[in-house]
Amino acid sequence: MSDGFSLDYLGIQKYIRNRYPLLMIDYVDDVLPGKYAKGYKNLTNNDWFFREHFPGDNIMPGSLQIEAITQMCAIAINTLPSMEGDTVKLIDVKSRFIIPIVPGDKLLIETKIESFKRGLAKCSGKGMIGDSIVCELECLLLAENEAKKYLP
Amino acid sequence: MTTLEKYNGVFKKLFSLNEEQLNEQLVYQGIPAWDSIGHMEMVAELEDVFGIMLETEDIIDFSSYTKGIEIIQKYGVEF
Repeated sequence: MSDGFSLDYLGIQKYIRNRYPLLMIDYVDDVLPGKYAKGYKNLTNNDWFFREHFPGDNIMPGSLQIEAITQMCAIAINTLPSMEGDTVKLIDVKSRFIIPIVPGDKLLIETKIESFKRGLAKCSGKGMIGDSIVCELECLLLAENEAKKYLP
Repeated sequence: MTTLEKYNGVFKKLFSLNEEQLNEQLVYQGIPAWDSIGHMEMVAELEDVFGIMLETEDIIDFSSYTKGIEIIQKYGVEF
C-alpha cells in the first residue's frame, strides 16, 4: 500500500505556483514527497493550445508535454517539508515524443525523483495514454529558495 | 590523473573553461556559467569525483577556485 496522498486541482495549487493557462496537471493520484508523483491531465478540444496547434490537426505541443511532466516532478519536490510553493525551474531536459496526444486523451503522468540535494533535483518521467508510453524525459530542476541556502 | 587535474576537470567540464582561466581570479559569479545553478552542479560533481560530502558551511564558503582547493583539502584530499 502506498504511503502517499492525492491532490485535487486546488490542492495542487497549494504546492506549485503554476496557474491557468499554464497549469498542466489536473489531479495527483499519488505523491510521496521527495520520491515520486503520479497523476493526469485530461485533454479536451477546449484546451487553448489545440486551436492553433495545429488547425485541422490538433496535437498537444511537445513543450507543454514537458511542462506537464516537470510540474508533476515539482509536486514531488514541493510536498517535502518547508518546500511548499517554492519556485521550481527547469534547468536541463532530454525528451522524446513518441505518440501524438490529441483532444479526448487522458494523459497519465508518472514521475520519479532520482536524487534531490540542495535544491537540485534529477528527475525522470513519462506520459502514457492507456498502457502506451507517449512521451518520456529526464530533467534537472532547481528549487530556487532551497538552493539559495547554499550559495556563497 | 593528479588530484589537481581532477579538480580542474570539473571546472573545465561544467564551465567550459581552459587551463589558463583556472586561477585565483576565477570566483563565484565572476563568469556567467558559475551562477547559482552552476554552483550546485559544481558541488555535486566535486562530491562525485572525490567521493566526499561537503558541509553546508563549506558550500557557502566555496566562493572561488582557489578557496575550493582549501576546502576540498579539509576532507582529506591531498593536492
